[in-house]
Amino acid sequence: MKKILIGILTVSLIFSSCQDRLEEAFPNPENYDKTGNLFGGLFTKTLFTWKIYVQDYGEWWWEIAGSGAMGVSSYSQIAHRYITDRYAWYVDYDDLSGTNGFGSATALWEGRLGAFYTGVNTWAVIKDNLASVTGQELDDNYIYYLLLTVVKDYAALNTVDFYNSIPYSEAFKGSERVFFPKYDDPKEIYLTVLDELKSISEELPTAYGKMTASAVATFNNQDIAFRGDVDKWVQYVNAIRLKYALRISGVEEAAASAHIQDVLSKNNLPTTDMVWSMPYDIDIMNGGEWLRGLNEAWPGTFVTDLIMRRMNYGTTLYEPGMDDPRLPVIAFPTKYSNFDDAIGDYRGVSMNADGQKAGYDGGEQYYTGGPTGDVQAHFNQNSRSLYNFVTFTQNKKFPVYMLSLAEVDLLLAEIAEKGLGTTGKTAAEHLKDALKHSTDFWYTRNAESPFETSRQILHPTKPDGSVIDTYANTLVAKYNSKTNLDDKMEIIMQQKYIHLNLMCPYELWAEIRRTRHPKLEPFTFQREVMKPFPERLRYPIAEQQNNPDNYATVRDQDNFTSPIFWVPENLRSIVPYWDNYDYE
Amino acid sequence: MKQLYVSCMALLLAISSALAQINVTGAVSDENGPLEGVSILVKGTTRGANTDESGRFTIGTAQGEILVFKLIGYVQQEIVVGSNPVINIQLVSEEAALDEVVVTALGIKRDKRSLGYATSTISGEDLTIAGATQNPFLAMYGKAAGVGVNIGSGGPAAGVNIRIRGAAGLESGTNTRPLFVVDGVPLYDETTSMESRGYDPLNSFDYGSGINDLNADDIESIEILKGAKATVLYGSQALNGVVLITTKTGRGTRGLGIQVSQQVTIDQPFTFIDFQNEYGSGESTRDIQETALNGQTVRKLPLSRFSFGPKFDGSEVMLYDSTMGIYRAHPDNFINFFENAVNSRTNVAVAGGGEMGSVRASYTTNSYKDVLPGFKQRQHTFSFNGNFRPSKFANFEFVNNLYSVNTRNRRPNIQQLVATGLNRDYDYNWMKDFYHDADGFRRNLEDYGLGSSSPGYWPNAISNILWEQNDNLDTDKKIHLVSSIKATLQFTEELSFIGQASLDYTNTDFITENEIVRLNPDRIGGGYKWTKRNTIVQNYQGLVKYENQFGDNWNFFGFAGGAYQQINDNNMFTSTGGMGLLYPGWFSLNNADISNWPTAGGRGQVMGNGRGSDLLYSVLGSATLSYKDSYYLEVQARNDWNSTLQAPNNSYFYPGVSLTWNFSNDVTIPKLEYGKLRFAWADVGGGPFTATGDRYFANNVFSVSQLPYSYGPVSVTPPSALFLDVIKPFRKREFEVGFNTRWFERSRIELDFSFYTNNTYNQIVSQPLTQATGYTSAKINTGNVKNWGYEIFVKAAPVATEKFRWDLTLTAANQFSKVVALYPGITQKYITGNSGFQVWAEEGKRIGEIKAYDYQKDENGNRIVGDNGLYMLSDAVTYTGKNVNPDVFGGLYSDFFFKGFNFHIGFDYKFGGSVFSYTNNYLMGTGVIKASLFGRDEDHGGIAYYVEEGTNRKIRWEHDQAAPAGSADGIVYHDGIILNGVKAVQEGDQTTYQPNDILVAAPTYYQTYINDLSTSWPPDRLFKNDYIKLREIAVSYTLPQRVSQQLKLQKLTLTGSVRNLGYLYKTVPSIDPEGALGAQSYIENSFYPSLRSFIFGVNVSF
Repeated sequence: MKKILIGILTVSLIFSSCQDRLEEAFPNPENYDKTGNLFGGLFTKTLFTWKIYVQDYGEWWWEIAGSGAMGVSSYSQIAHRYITDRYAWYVDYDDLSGTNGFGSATALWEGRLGAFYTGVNTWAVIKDNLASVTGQELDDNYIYYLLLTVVKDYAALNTVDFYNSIPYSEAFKGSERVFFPKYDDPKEIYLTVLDELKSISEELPTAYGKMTASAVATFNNQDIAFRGDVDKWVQYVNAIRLKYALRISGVEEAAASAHIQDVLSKNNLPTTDMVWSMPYDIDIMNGGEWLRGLNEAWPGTFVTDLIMRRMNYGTTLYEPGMDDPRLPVIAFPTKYSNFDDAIGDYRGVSMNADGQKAGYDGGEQYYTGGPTGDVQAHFNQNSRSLYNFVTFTQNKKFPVYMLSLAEVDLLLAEIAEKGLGTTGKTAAEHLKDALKHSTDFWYTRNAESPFETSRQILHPTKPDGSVIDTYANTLVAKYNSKTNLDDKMEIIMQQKYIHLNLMCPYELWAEIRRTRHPKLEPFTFQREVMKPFPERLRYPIAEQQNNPDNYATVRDQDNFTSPIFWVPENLRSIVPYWDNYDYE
Repeated sequence: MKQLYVSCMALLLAISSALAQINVTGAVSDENGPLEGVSILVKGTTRGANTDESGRFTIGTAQGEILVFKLIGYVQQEIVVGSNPVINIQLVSEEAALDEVVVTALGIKRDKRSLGYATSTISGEDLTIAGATQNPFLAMYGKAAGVGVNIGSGGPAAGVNIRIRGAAGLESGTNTRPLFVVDGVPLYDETTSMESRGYDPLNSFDYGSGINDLNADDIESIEILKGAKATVLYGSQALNGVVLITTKTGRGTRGLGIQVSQQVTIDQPFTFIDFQNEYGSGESTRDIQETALNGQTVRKLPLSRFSFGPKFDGSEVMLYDSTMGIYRAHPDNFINFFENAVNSRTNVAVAGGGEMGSVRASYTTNSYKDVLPGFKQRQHTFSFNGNFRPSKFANFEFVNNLYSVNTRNRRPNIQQLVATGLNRDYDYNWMKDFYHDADGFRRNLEDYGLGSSSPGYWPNAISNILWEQNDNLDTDKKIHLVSSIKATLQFTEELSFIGQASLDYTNTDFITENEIVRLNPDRIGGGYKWTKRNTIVQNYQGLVKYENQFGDNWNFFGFAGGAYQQINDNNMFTSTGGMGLLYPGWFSLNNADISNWPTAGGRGQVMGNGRGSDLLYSVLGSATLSYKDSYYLEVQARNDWNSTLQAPNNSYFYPGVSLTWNFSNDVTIPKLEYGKLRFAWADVGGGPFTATGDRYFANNVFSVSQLPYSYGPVSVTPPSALFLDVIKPFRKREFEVGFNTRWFERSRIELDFSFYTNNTYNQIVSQPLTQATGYTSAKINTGNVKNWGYEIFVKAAPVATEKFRWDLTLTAANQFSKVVALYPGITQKYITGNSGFQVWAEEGKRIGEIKAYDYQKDENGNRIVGDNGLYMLSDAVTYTGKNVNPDVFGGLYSDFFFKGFNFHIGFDYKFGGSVFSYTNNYLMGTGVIKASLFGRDEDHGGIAYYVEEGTNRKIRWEHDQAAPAGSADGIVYHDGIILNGVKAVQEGDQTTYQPNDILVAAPTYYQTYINDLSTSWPPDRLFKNDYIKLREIAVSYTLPQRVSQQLKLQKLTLTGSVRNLGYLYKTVPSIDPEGALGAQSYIENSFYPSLRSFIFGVNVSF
């Protein structure tokens, strides 16, 4: 009996220790799974997620290099290659019929849809987990839910701007076993989001007020964008309400106008540029951020004539007061510059590929070492202007962009011009504000760049206020000389192009599709004149595999040519191109 | 190494010269007692003796001589005389010899006639009959019914895929590999391929796994346990069957035997690509490029991925390095880029034994070179195995196999070479002298306009490969030890205890040394990385065994016990990352250019580590009850507790039962010597590690990190996979029925047949979800897939006389499947593929059905061409009616023996199963194969046309007439073709289809095949992949005994063989079709040439 008892005891001891060891070996030792501040951590993670505010290398590489510079920034003529007939693939530039004419499947037109859902799935996780906390713990963390809702809503509208209908109302419900979410009417998504943003903007101060001091301290730490400044978040929400209300103003004017008026009445728009630093210097050789994409795709980052001709007047040299003050920080000087006096010469690339062939063959070429190559070789060889890689590609300090004063100014200019709300200023005055704010923005970017700081031509001093004023007045005069809305919109959008440029090609693409401005240069290649105008992205092929029945309901618009719902009916037939290269 | 070999030989010679005359005495018996009248002959002499009534004998002989024991009705036995003057042996009756003993699960030896399930045995001799292969599994093609083998693109030193009974899962990541057990030691194993190594093509090496190290010379036999019942005692590790490898131990050796073998193998690369050698690079025959050279305009070779350029005409042309040459084809430029490789293998084995046990020590050295220069492997294998039986009570066995394998510059992925176009204009070997600059650094091809990596820029592609293989160094140095000790304690005749402790230990150092690319004008490149990986599998097992005879008819055999397994897999690395090196030729972290030290986010470029471990506890038991050696009922069960699953789902039970009826004992059928019917059922299962290779699959966690801001915000990432329920073990329930029969005297024909049907359910998979759910996948138990199939094994000796013998072996296996059910709410599952070629599991269908884009067709099935005269693809993938799994596969082997000669020939075959051939797509699209010649000119059936001014339409014309006035460019073209099909004609709302008459230029049509986007892949590169392969031919000759005796040798055999001779029949053009069997790479992308091996061997026994 005793032996049996000892036996049983031994066996049960062995088994219990075995059971413990089994459970110890279950988790992956390389994952730290004690989440601590779960809600704040999820919020921070989302702010730092690629393709929401932080732009990523892979997408930019595919968008410019991987597509052979036939992606969004190219079709929108924000940046281009220096094209002659040596790039044979441009023969298909206007082929938007299949899958190979526009962008790249995996990185952009497939990737953007998934990036939205996977990027902000944290919102659903917070929502599910908030249900299990109450009292002060709920009050301390509710702000993260509100702010993540803002981010989710922003990302959702961004995604609608790419694809039109997307799954929204049934999205993020995998944990409820909704495996096949339906595609929603995009207008409904816009209206839902605008209403939700309105209520969050009102709710935020209250929610913030309920937090304990220690919760606020944590929030200050976790909020890598505004360091816990909740008023800035309200301003941000107000600004994007303006942006998205304006976006639908051509198809849903009443609702848009109501939101715009509401925002303006609160008189609380951003007072500073809403950008924030990455926690480290961006590594343009090996990093994961968009600048590496620019670096590797640099032959596709020449400044287009469309932009250059709206900045560089008179001679091709920079002439203060006559030329846009942003020119020397946005564009890279060509070999024709006056290097001794640090006066840059700036020339864009034309969409008349045939027209620039003779010059190219005659020696108007460029250094092929790219932005990491020898700067002097660029100076010696470049006959066209790349986007200034001091300000952009080689700027390890380039911040994460959420919004800028100049962008808001340009929204206000359009609102004022169209009478969608009372802004307190004329459109021209907003335009002038925009120029000043944008000049500040781009000179700040250039100044913070640690690259080649000893070369004055690459780090020009910001012009005096009087010089900027001179140029601003010229711009205003030009604007005021226009007698119809269409021509005025052309100028507002030209300014938007110059300000947002290569930093925000997707926003510009949305705006040119919505407004049909600015008008593009026709593309002439091997004697063929092409005017392609992609209207949207195609759905990822994975949707045919993973959500086939719902995909079938939107399959008829799964092409590159069906307009997004916010394109006003009367503009849909307009393909915004100039007739030739002799344009203003 | 040479020195070691010389020392071994010297030792052997010393031993053989020490032989001396002795008188040997002993006794001969069988299982019933002493045998009288056994004749004993000294082999090769007339000296002999007979046993007396007590079985005793005395004979004068010498050490090293062989005694042959013969008695009618008994199996003849030979013993080498050692130093011991006493030799007692037991002879086995011929009848009893039929009762082969086979190794079953856990190393338990059983009478084959008692087994209730199918096994296949491959002897060591079968593996080496056509020479020893780089790894022994490469000799297994078609030799065991239902066992699919294939070699990956990484070559013979890389991963080999083995699938038993068509093991297939519901996703591409499903582990289909069997468990490999060497002398009771389970090996650490994993799926390896170039594809699994990420997107960096020239650094995507396939390192193979532990089984690559096994040495064919040391293998006694391989048993393959196929079904659930056969493997039930291996529990959660044995979903896909078990391969039991028994190494040679010297067992049964009396005295000392020495064996030396030497083998030389010449690997010759060859290709199935039927190149055209008429047209050079360019997009059309008019694509003539010129340049200025020394003030003169000369024609130059263009860079284009296409080979639709001008006809080769022998004219003068400027080559890429600005020298002048001849415009001509280099027909063998692809195959000549590779070289014949000469490899050598030497094995020395010494085995000895006596009353107390036996031992075998073996050393093998093998040097391997690939046909792509730069890839070298050196392998040393030490094997020291044996047993020691100090008393009847205790027997100890030990296994020690130590492998030291050093490999440098394994095959890189050279797919870009094919994608860039295998143009005919140039000798690729030109680059071998050109890619270095005058200082020995890498030449900057930019200076020659050759630097682009765009398609067509082959100089860059070739230069990359050469630099990587010749100047950079990627080594993996492996020490691999398989070791085990086993003790058997025989308490009583009936009761014994078997304890075993075993270890599979592997340590690999992966070292990368990348040279500085160049120093001027800027220092570029250079890198050093050191990765250490350590895998350890520990197993401890104890069994109590009981066997007893009850009365005359009943027998009980049973065992029960427990087992413990721990697997560890750890790795760590440090690297100079993207920093670059300062000084050329010095590879050290101290040589990193730390001014480029990565930012906080780039930590993973310079250091990292990974850990993993899992535990498995088991209790198991087996009981067999037999009646009159005719009926066997066996019940077996195992329970596992596994750390890869969460409690309470981490415990699982597997039962199995089988019934065997040796019906020839009860029923007499004419000519039937032996017959057995068998029935088996078992339910096995396992955890995520066995199912997916990911031991932390079920570990659903938020991962926490800190963003490197000074104020330290925490970042929490939720899992991207959705966990709906706690993961359960997967299950496989299988029923098997079969028979084994032997016919005619001496069992001249053996026929073995199995039929099985199984259901795999609760499969552990990642179900892809639309990302709109917030998750990319759901980690779930899903699916009920039914598989059924048969396996046939026929062995026959059509001729068996005193002088001649002819043996034939045929294997065949077939498998069917049906997806019965998936997860609730989900009826179909994408398994693998890409946008244009997809493999699916859908309820009600066979697993592995293929979807692809089809041509648009009219109601009569005619392909529709668009306005451009080219075929149009449908806008969504649809089922093609084709499946990736083969219908039937197997092998046929023939051996003819005549005097000392053995002539061996082996075929293997596969029918059914489709593969998408990416290589064929490229070869057609770039215009480098003969199949792309049609229509290019008048001689190749091209139609004449001119291009109409204003409309750009192609108008049919005559080859020998000048272009008419309406021509846009005054040119008559000769490369028109009209595709078979119809064109749409619109009349009002009515669309009708009329025969196509739209002319297209032939190159335009061929180029539709080269679309790099899978969404534009035409369906006609989806090939049915049938083949019959002439796998091996071998001739061996064993010297007559009198000759070898004169040479003081026991035996001398010379072998000459050829492996991979070619195909008698195949359905996929341009490629080696072997790629699609066994692996789950449904998309063929085989860019390496095939290897044909010529092997010469000599094998000597002392």
